Amino acid sequence: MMWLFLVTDALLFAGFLGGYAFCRLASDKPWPDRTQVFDLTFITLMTFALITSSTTMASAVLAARNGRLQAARGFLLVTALIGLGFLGMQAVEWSHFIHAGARMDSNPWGVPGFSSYFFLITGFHGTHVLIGVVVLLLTTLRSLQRSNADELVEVVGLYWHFVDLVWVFVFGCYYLV
Amino acid sequence: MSSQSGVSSYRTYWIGWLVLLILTVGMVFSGAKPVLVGGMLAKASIITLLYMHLMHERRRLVWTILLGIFLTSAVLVVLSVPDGMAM
Repeated sequence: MMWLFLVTDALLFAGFLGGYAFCRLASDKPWPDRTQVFDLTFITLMTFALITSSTTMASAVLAARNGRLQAARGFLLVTALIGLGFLGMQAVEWSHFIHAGARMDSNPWGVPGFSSYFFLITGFHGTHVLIGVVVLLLTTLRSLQRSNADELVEVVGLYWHFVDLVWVFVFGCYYLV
Repeated sequence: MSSQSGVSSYRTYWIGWLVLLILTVGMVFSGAKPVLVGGMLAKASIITLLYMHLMHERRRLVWTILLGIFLTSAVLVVLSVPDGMAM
């Protein structure tokens, strides 16, 4: 069931990135230089955070499978905290972008699609991260007491890795290409 | 969901983490499109196959997911890239 949800969610993000590609290719003005707009070191740090959280999440799944629920709880908590850190960094990134004059329908670089797709794609991804953090905290606090704790942790893990997977393409397509 | 993840040690995941990190840094410093596309695909493969345990799932599920993603990507590229470039 979770796989079905993830595939449909992947199609949603694929649609966003496809729309972004179309908008960028169809733009009659030159696309803004990403290195002048974004601090790539900061964005790389955000990526580092998500990669690390995926690893701690996978470790939580492994610990839960081996019946080491206390260790699983610790890994889940660390994953949630890193997720919160990612959200904090994204808030800083949005704040800088908005202070630079970017809005949903306009921006100082003269290509409206540049900021529209930024808010749309990173906003949707951030919402997924926020939902993931809430689910991780709930799982840490309550669900590990259940008899099928290992399955619950694995399902939550699938969702969290998907969030990381989407970021791979957002980071690559939006910030690097 | 698989009954066994197939990964029995934390070390495997942390090796995956190191490879992901190296790929990320390589992509940032290179900036060349072939490197970026290759890096994205390599990172996506590590996440899905190792972390999401797709390499230990039933073959039908793996093919359903991979074929779905491939077809969707192909349709998006075929529909959006030529039209976008023509505008």
